[in-house]
Amino acid sequence: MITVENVNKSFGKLRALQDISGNFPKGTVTVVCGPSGSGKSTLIRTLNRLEEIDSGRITIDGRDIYEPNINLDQFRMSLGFVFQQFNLFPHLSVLDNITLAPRRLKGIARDEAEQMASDLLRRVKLSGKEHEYPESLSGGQAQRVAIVRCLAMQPKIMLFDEPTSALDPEMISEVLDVMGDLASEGMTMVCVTHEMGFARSVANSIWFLEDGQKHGEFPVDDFFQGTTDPRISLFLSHLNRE
Amino acid sequence: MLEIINDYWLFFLIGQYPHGPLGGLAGTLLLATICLILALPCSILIAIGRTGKNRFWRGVTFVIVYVMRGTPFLMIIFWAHFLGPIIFGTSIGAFWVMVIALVLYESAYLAEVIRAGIESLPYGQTEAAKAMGFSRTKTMILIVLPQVMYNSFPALLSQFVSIIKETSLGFVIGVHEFTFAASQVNSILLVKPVEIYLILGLTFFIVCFTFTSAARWLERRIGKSQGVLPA
Repeated sequence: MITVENVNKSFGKLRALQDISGNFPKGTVTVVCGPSGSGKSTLIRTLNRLEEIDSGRITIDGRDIYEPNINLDQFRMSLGFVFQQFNLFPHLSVLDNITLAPRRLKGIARDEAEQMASDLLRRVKLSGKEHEYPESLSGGQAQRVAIVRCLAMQPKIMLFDEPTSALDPEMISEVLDVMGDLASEGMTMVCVTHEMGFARSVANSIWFLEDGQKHGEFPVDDFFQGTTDPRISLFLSHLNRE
Repeated sequence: MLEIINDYWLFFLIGQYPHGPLGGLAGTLLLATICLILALPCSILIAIGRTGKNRFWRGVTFVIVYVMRGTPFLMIIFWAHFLGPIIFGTSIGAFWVMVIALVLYESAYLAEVIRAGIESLPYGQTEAAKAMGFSRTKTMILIVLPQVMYNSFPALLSQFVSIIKETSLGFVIGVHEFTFAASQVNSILLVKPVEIYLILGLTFFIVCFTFTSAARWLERRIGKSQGVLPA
């Protein structure tokens, strides 16, 4: 579904992504991991062009997303992007945060949008929070609202950029549970995360990045058991120590 | 002094109205309010130009802001006063000349207030909007400006106080406002300038102090609500 071919990206002298290639197949969950500064966030941000690539090609459903006449706003509507810092709109209620895009971008009537928002909130166990404002939510709740805000646009693909890194430990699982549910429903997902428990139980494959290079792509079981790559063993041992 | 207030309070309050244009304190507040209402949309446009990507508009708005901020306000009043009839082909009256001068001048200052508001908004806000498929215009209207106007409200109120004080300069071109009313009372009484201008000063102080206090109170409230916002 998403194909990345020889993608390069630099920030000044720093080569953030070097010759990255691979596939994120439809209906699968791919976890992108690696040490800090490995380029994993940059990679996921290039997939909806929050970051522009310098060279290479990225296609989604066969369509080159860097072709000059692409309608970028239209294209982004089909992808959900979840940020580390949630980025809810503080001046809008939970309900308005979720319904703003469906109403303003897809022209869905308010009643219908609000009904859909309530249904989605129930799914992530946040019924009754409709009229609260982001400032009164906990981190875990805010991130679940952010996920629902994306789902309200009925995206084909969900991208997660370290969705639990800004959360207190006790709130991480409530977000991961929602992501797990989403995966079991067949959503195509790309997740940048350090949550190896999540990777082990939900992901189909794992990409390992280091210094802007892709050091391989592994089926989940291989990654946790069989790899002989010393860099991956080191990375896992660091994570286990935390 | 109480005698003067007793005899002339209505004149201080509304000027010659209804036998002439509305003036006095009411004239001052009317002038300031009209100016704020007209200057606000201008300043929003300037602020958007200043923070936008288009180099041409960034340049134009930069020049507007720096020319206006680098010129004494009295000079702008004179420009509007002498240039206005040439541009419009007819005299538009001192009140509207003053409105034009104030809007020109204050748009530049208000634009800087709003620009600061736009720039202080966390980048994640526009980025989230972008990722959801909002165009730049929709992002500005639906997400950025509502937050900026709310956060900047105390600063805008403080700027309103400046506008109220600046209206007194309309005196030099004969605008019917509070200072003009005071000077008229002074020309009637002739021998009580200290008392008259004390009344003028005290009233200005009370009005402005009220607004500044309100601004400070709002600032604390808004600051408090922002303290717990997620980044």
